[in-house]
Amino acid sequence: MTDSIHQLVEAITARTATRQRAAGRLMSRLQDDPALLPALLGELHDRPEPDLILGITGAPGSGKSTLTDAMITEIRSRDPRIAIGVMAVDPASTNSGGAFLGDRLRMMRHATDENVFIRSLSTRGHLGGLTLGVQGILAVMRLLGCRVVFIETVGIGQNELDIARVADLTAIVLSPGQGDGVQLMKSGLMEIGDIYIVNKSDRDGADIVHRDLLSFLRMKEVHELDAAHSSFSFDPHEPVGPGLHVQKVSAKSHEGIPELIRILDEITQANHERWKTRRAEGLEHEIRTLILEEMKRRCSVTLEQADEIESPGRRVLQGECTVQEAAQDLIRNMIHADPLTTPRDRAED
Amino acid sequence: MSSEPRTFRVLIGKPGLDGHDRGAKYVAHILREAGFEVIYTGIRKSPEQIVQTAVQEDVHAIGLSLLSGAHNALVKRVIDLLKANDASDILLFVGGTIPPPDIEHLTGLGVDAIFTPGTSAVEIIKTIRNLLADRQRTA
Repeated sequence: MTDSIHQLVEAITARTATRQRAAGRLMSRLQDDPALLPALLGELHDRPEPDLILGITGAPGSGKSTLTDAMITEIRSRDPRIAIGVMAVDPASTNSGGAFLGDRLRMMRHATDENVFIRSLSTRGHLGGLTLGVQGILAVMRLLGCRVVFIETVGIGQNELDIARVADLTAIVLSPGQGDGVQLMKSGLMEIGDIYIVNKSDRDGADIVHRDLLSFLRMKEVHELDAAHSSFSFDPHEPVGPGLHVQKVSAKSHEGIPELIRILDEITQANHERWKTRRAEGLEHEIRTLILEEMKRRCSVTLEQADEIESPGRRVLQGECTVQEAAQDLIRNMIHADPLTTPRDRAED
Repeated sequence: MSSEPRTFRVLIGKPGLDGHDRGAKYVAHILREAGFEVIYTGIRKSPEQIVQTAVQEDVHAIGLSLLSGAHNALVKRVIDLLKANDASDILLFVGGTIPPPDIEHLTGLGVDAIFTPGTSAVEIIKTIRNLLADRQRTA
């Protein structure tokens, strides 16, 4: 099994004609079996990490995919040696588990560019969770030599927050016609952004969104500093605080895109060393998530088993022990429960 | 040997110049409802774009929708490109207005299934599922 991972890795690094085929397959293998990831990462140690992993999020229809498409065009035209990876995450149907993955429809002009690799993912069907799937694809993109990786997600659910932790920077995409400033305040998007992009600047209302956004960010900044020492000012021409960036663009007409790439470039230049350290720290969150998921699973199993003999609930009601004592007993049992088997374990049986 | 099958991934695309995508979108929709992950590439795409997408996405099947009459040339090109990319194991099905003599021709080229107008959703899903299951067994 590990042999064929080697073969795939070799086919990718040797730049054979079927390099992309090997990369696509390797990504699937890692999604099917995240336990293979360490073996791949072991082979990657002398390969440079991407300079920038950018998360792109925003409401459906705000133009994230078209924006990604425009950014690819701009980066590739500046420097044709830079390879780019894109992960486009779309929600899975809660009924069927299926998904309609339509993001790359907006990026089809790059379909035959061998230095652009686009992979669509749904939010379901990943052993070990979506972030592990993302890490696997990221590793293959690194093997392909991608210097910039975009990860596109919809909305601000738990999945997006987890992915935001994988990314070095998160860009929030807004566009006119998606509600007033109050929508901005309640969306929750405003808490996770490093860069705010007002897309569709060619349309009516883009200036209003831009103004609302600036005043919101300034309000947040003032609140953070200390409202007592600052005065509210809603002049849209005044710059927002350090570390926050706002750019108005039209992905369709390419207006503002060169400036956006220049901003991203500057931030990357200044931070990419620091990001590499932070990426390792980000994995700690993933380990924590895995532990919690495993303990949740064990908790259900232990409770189901306990039911057959004497339910902890009944023991508490009969005054045999307190809720805390019942919980402590169960935790002791959980520690010794069977660990979750991975597909790899099964294959080795 | 292979681990449990993950969700099947299918590319739905329209090669060539006709812009009638109602059928392609319908099939994409019913496949999603049936639990497939559908990568939709839209209208007026070249065989090169479609095959490159299928390769990057590592799909299990490609569905081509054609109402233009240019199916013989376009499907042949897709099959040739799949070969060149070491991707002939990807299932290939075609939907659209394909006259009976061409059905035989396309099947001879290596198309696994052809759905002409009026085929029911149940029939399409059943056929694709069975073909994919057969392929997994022989893989």
